[in-house]
Amino acid sequence: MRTKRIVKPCLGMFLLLLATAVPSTPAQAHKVMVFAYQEGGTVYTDGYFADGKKAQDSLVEVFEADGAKLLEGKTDGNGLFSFPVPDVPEIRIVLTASMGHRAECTLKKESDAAATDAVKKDTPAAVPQDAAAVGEDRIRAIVSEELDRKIGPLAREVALLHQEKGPSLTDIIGGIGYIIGIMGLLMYFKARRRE
Amino acid sequence: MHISEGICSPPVLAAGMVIAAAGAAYGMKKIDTESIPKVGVLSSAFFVASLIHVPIGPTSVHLVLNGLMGLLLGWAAFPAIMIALLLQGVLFQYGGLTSLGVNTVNMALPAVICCCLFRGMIRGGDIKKTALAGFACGFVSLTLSIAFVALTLLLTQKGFLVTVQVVLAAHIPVMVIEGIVTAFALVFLKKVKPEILEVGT
Repeated sequence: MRTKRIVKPCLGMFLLLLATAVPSTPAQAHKVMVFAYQEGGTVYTDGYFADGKKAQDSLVEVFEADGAKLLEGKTDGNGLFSFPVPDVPEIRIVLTASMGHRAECTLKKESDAAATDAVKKDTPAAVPQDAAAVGEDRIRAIVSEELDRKIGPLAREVALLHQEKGPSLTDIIGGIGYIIGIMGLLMYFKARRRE
Repeated sequence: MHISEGICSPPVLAAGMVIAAAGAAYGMKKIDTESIPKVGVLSSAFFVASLIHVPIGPTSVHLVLNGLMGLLLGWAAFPAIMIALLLQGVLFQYGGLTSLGVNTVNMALPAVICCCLFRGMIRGGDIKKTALAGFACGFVSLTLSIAFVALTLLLTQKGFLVTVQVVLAAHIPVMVIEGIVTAFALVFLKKVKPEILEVGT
């Protein structure tokens, strides 16, 4: 009995040591998700696993709605990847992590983003002829720049809120219920056949 | 470990479906009315195990338990794992419907192999031998599963071979934990309800 009492804590310590000794074990056994949002003239994609770990160094491919590939890249250490908003109405973003994990999401071009783009293109070419028109253009550019700066963190927060979370306890319990139900059905049919 | 939709090529998916269907059909035949609750309980355990991530240190792990299922269910592990994977796919988009066959084979085939390898070791009343068999079973089945997943990916996209060793090495802690949990579960069952361990393949 005494040896048993020592063995269990030792085992626990061993497990803990083992787990901490492997600092960057890729959490590849989990589901991967990708989330994209648009801010200013840039699309930001965020790749992460169901347990909250970031999908580092994963391939991100961006497709047009009809399937033509627009661009591709790799996520950084924080699972992030960004690229300028392409000039198409809708893009499909596909993230491929290791061990056969893949996630995708679609992003529609926001209408105001087009306006921002247009304004940004306009600003450098500010060689004024008509004073009033220039004033309006410049004000628009400044306002949109300021708005971007102010709304940026907010937009990021909203994006975070939209992120999928892993399954909740209710989901899991519901799944167990399904399994019990299926087994009940199986039992019913097996029992009927025997009669 | 769940291969998502759109990763594997159609022939690989089809082959997975066929093997999984055959395994499940054979497993269903092996299940008698008395063992249905056991299949249900283990199917639930498998279903829950891969959803609950236990944070340990900087990363998190989850159990797979396919070794335990193999030892307790034999071929019935096929339908049990298939049902659990189907629900995970439908409810949480873990894996996917098209890749259900491939995923089932990758998890259930190692379970059946381990059942054949280690079943003899748990027959006797020797607790130490049972624990050893449990550890080996958990370790080997997970190793095989990861190797199978890697092989499946290799059949679709070349150039993955280099990372296979890295992936296997990275999962060694999980394999060890899986082995320890399986060993504890088996020893517990052996003491409390030894008749549950008497399975025909």
